[in-house]
Formats: sequence, structure tokens, C-alpha cells
Amino acid sequence: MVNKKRKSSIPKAVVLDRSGGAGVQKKKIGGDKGKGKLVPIRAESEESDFDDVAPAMQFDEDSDLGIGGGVEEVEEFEEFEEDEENDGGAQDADSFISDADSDEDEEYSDDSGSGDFDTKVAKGMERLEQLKAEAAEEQHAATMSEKRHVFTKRPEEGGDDEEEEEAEEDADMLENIPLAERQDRVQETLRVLDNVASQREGDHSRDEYLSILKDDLIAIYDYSEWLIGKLMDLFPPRELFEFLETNEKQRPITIRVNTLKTSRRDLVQALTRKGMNIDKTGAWCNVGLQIFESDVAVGSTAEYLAGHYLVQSASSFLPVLALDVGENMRILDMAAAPGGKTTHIAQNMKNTGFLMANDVSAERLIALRGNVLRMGITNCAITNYNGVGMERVMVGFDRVLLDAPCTGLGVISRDPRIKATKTEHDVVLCSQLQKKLLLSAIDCCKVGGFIVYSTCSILVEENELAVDYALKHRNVRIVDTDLPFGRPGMTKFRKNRMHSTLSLSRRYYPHIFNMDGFYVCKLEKLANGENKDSLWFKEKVPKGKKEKRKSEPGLPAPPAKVIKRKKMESEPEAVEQPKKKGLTIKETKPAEKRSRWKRKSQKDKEKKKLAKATKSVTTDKKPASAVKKTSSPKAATKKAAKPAKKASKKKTKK
Amino acid sequence: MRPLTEEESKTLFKKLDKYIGGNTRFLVDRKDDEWVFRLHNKKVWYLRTATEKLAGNVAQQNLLGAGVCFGRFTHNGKFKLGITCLDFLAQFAQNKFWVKPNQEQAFLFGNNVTRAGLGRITEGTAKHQGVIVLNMADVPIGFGVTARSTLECRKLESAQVALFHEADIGEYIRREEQLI
Repeated sequence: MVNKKRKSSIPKAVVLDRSGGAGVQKKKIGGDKGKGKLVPIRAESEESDFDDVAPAMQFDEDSDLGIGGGVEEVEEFEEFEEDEENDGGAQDADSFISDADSDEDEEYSDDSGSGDFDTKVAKGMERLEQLKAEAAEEQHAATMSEKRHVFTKRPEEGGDDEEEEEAEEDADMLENIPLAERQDRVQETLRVLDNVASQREGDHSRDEYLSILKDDLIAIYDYSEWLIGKLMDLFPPRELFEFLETNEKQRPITIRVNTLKTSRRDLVQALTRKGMNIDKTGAWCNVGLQIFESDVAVGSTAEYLAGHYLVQSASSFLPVLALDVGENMRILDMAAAPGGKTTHIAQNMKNTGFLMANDVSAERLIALRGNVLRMGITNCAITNYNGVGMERVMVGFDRVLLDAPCTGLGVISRDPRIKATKTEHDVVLCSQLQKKLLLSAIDCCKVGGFIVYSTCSILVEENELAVDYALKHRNVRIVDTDLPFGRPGMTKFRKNRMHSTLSLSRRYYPHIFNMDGFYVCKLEKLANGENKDSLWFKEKVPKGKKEKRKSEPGLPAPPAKVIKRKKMESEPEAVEQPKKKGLTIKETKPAEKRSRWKRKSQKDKEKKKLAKATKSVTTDKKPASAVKKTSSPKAATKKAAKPAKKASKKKTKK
Repeated sequence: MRPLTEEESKTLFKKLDKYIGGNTRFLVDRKDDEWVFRLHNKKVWYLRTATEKLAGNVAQQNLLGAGVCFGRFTHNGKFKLGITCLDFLAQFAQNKFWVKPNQEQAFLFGNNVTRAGLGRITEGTAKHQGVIVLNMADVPIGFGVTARSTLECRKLESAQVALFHEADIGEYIRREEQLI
């Protein structure tokens, strides 16, 4: 009986969680437990049946998304969160877990309590009748709840009219499906995508569900198709939904105290007197304040005009924290306008040293100048150069900050137009510019200095790939940002394989940290010029091979670069190598050597033939012969000399 | 960036004297570091010599400025003081004028202050004397020129002007492009 019911095409829990997907854990257990409205009792009994079969299903979501870690972080920075959902979700999840346990206990206690066989049978019969009744109800409910299915609009027909239905679906896309219906469908699709194999209707594939999800998300949130596609590459479905939801809301307003003119305590007092509901940001930043409510406009109080604070998003504190600014330094800010980070650097320098604030746009420099002058900064020079080519103006900076221009996909909540206007072409242009700027930034820096690269985007093309490019073309290495939180950068993304140290860079997302999407990476300059013996290349050499070579006696140290075939003569490399575009792991040999080498391989072949013919003792392998130093012109003398040499070689080896 | 000529220096210090009197020597001869006045694109900048040296790497067209901007020289050679040097002048100011909260916003919009808005004033302020304007929380909010001396101010009617507005910190928003 029970088995029959399970095989029915109606999905396990027709009852939907109406929470709107706010808390993930909430959803997971709610869906199974039937916290929805239709028939709670049935759902509970179903749940207990299914426990035997697929207990693992309940824990799938955690592993998929790593939300466990996310929830922790959410709780840490409660001060940020005005979103009740996140907090509520976490709390509710706890309560859900406890509910589940208690319910299960009750049910199992019933079964195990009675010892009598008759009573057991009686109970079993009761149960059967109950289930029959419930099955009938379910059928009824199924017909009622048509729109909750993702694919079907009519009662289930086992996927025969799949194409027709999909065609209908497509037609429906063009028509106006009401927003609520789309949202429901999104929730249902997400639920199915959690475990497609068991949850899907008929034979619909995961891709089909994803495409439906994509269409719905485009319709609900007004994103362009290309952009949703990009985001689907970045995030798993549930996280994507969280991200999109978070982008619809504003991040809290944060300000940064100007320690050159006032202290945080004084400013809090002054502003609360003016009628602002203000509080400190977390312990990670001691100059940040968060504004919950305000009677007066935040950007035009007397304190603001006097330069006591600046309105700045919380994520913009991060690159300056990573930069590790000290007094009496020379610092360059390559894309400084409108000046939030510049002024932060200057206050950390305490007006000592020299700060060069540069921006390519003369219009935005007006804002930069205004901010710099208002905040009382005296060690700053404001310049109007293109960042690309800055090394021709001035070099030798202790620190360089590059907050590169980007597509701004992390700050969609501030500027909703990005959803529709950004295209692939924008990403290509931006990423090209970012790479050029980053190389210039590295060139401007002194050896041993630090460069911090940051963007307000979440795309890999603009973040990790730009830094990876720099690693290939300059003598730099990534160092730890020393930031107290943040998701590690990606080392693998789709077809791209990037350097392993990119995990030291940090990514920030609005739906996890409640701050703008951001990326920060800190680089240390190892040497001037383009890379030759850069760490990146050295990392590529398999460690085993290198050690082997070093252990061979009587030979000079092998070169740093890897060559597929082992060298004949380990000659010292020339210091200045010819420039080549892109990577060259293979060593470039002049023409003469190559011909010599070919001759040697020919010789080897002859040698082999000889060996076979004469049945020599030595079991000759190519490498052993290849390592020989001398190269006699005549083959005959060589052949004669070879056995003797081989013998001697063997002795030295052993 | 070039040093000021004799004439230009005279004009500048004459103007500064109006506001901070004999304390101009504190600007020129500083014990902690050597600070200088320099001219760049008709604007007067006040900065350390070290900063000036490094700013020398930048081409004239590309440099917007370095250090603190004190003001600009007009076409006819007169010096107009800008709001951006307020901090420096405020610390050396000899005559101060406190504005009441009721007229503080009005002043920040560029209006003159009447007798009704006069909170406090330094004793012995002359007529048409350059003063630093502060709000009642002792935050400097601009420059002005007194309309009457201290004694005369007491006899003014509430609607009569007590202070002529010269520069205020509201200009950072109102006149961002023309910020000197």
C-alpha cells in the first residue's frame, strides 16, 4: 500500500512552504515536515515513511551550498542586518529542528511502546485506512493545486505531452503570468533542484528546470538574460535566489569617521543630538558607524560639511584595511575619485608622507578635490592622469591602491539600471582595462611594496582572472589580506584554472555579509620588470622532477624553466631572454643547438641498433645517453667510445 | 608650482592678517616642518616642501593641486580667500563670531547673519573686521566680515545685519565646481 502510494507521480509533498525561501534551513525541513497549510497530518506520516528510505535527502542542501558557514557569519554581524528574514530564518531553523525531533519521537514512541501483537495489528489497520483516506484527499488536492507544479498545468499525465506542455509553457512566458504565480513556481523549482533525481516530475531534466527558473527570475527581477546566465554560473540555484532577493533591498547606510578632525565617540554624541539613530559597526572597523534612522539628511549636516565624516559603504573600508597604511609612506591611489578610500588612507597616514590621488576623469576629480579639501588632508596631490602608463609619471610607491573601474555587479542594489544595461562587451572592455591598470600599478610600486586590487564586481573575469594575468606578467605574489572575514577567491571557475594562491584573495557578497559585492586582493612586488623567474612559473614545476635533477652529481644546477625533454647540456641561461607573447614554458633554443640535438637522437637510434646487434650488456635507455657532455663529429669513433663511456657512467651513478 | 612673487605675497598676507592678525608667522615659520605657499593655476596652495618636491613629478596640466588651497588670485591681482583653508585660520583666529542655531542654516546657504542670529562675539572686534564664524558647538563654519563693532552690535535691531557672509562650509555642496 505504502509502496504504491510512493510510486504515484504526485510529488512527495504537494504542500509548499510559503515562506518565500527566506531561510534555507527553514525551507528544507518545512518542505518535508509540511509546515504548509493543506494537510499537515498526512505530511508527517509520509515523513516517517520516507525516513527509512532516504534519510540523506534532508541534509543535501547544506552540502550543496555551505550555508552552514553562511549562517554563522550572518549571526556574527547582526548589527548590519536590518533584514529580519535572515535572522528569522536562522532562528526558525533552530526551532524547526527541535520540532522535527519532538515529532519524530512521538511517532516512534507510539510504535515501539505497545508490546501486544493484536494492538499492533489494530493500529496497523487504522493506519492503512488513514492512508487510504489521505491518498484520496491527495488526489483531490492535486487537482486543486495545479499551478504549484512547475511543468504541468493539468493533472499529471506521466510526461507524454511533455513537448506540448513545454510549448504551452513557452507561450505562457510571452504572455503575462502573474508575479505571484511566477514566484511560486520559482520556489517549487528550487525545491526540485535540490534533489532532481527524486523530486522531478516525470523525465524532465535538470536543464529544463534550470531554464524555467531562469525565465522566471528574468521576469520577476527584470534582469537581462545574459546577466542571469552569468549569475547562474556563479551561484547554485538557492544562493542565486538569495542574491537576487538581497539586491532588491538597500544596504544599511554607513559613514566613516574622519579621525583627523574628530573621534568616533564625539561624533556619535553630536549626531545623536541632531536626531540620528546611530551605532558602531562591528569590531572589524574602528572608524565606521551605521545609521539606522535619521531626522536630518545625512549628507548635509554641519558635521559633514566640516569634514568630520564621509558617507561610505562598508565594503569600501576593506581595501584600505588590507593596504596596511603607515605614516611617512608614499602611497598612490590610481582610481581615486570620488575620494572615499583616498581620504581613508590619508587619515591612516595622519597627514604624513605623500599621497597621490589620481583619476582619469576630470569631472569626477571635482568631487575628489572637494572631499580631500573638506576632510583636512594636507599631504595629498590630486592628479589627472590615465592610470595606464602611470609608471612614466612616478614610481617607487610604498603602497598602491587600485580600486578598478568595473561593471559594478556587486552594487546592483544601489543602481538597478545595471541589471538591464550591462552586456558581455562591457565585461570584456572592463577586464582589459583592469589588466592594464593592474600592470601599471605594479610597475609604480617599489620592490617589497604592496598593491591592493579591488573591484565592486563579483565576476571572475574582472577579479581572479585579472590578478592571474598579473601573476603571469609581473614579478608579484599574492599575500594574505589580513581581513577578518570574507569568502576565499576562486582558483577554479568553469574552464579557467588559476593560481592556487588566489584563494588568499577575498570575495564579499550582499546576501552573506550584508555589504556590497566586493573583491579584494593584496599583492607583494618581488622584483621589477616582467616576469622571468616568477613564482607562478616555479609553482608549475612538479617538485619530484626538480629534486631528481639536483641529485645528479657532476652537473651544474638545472635551469628554473621546465623543458619536456631533458637537456643535453645544462648550460647557464642567458639573463636577458627574448620576449615572447603569452607563456612559454618550453625553453627557446637557438637553431644550432636544435640541429645538434637532432643529430644526437639519430645517433641514439644507431646506438640502439648497434646494441641489439652486438647484444651489449648495458640496457641502454635514452636519458642516460642524452646526458653525455661531449659530442664527437664522427659517428664511428663515437660508437667505439660509447660502450666504454656507458660503463664509466654507470660506475659514477652507482 | 612656483613660489609667489613679492607682490603676490604681500597681497596674500594682507588678507590673512585681516583674519588672524599677527599670527601669520605661525603659518610661515613652523617648527615641526617647513611649509610653503606656492602658486598653481592662479590658486595659492599651502604645503610641505617634501610634498611639493614629489608633486613636481606631475605635469602642470595634469596637476590639480597639492596640499591645502587657501584661495585664488583674481584677474586684477586681488586675493580671494577660500573656504578650504578654514581649519588653518580657525586655529589662529583672533576674532570670532558665534552664530545661533536659528540662523546657522541660513548662513550655510550664503546669507548674512542678522542681530537675531548673533550668539557671541569676541570683545574688541572692530567694524568691518574679518572674523571666523563658528556655530554654538564651536565648530568653525565659515568666514565673515563684521558689519558693526562689538559695542555697536549690542544696539542693533534684531533684523539688522550683524555679519556679512564671505565663505561658508555649505559651499562644499552648493558650489562644488567653483571650490577654490
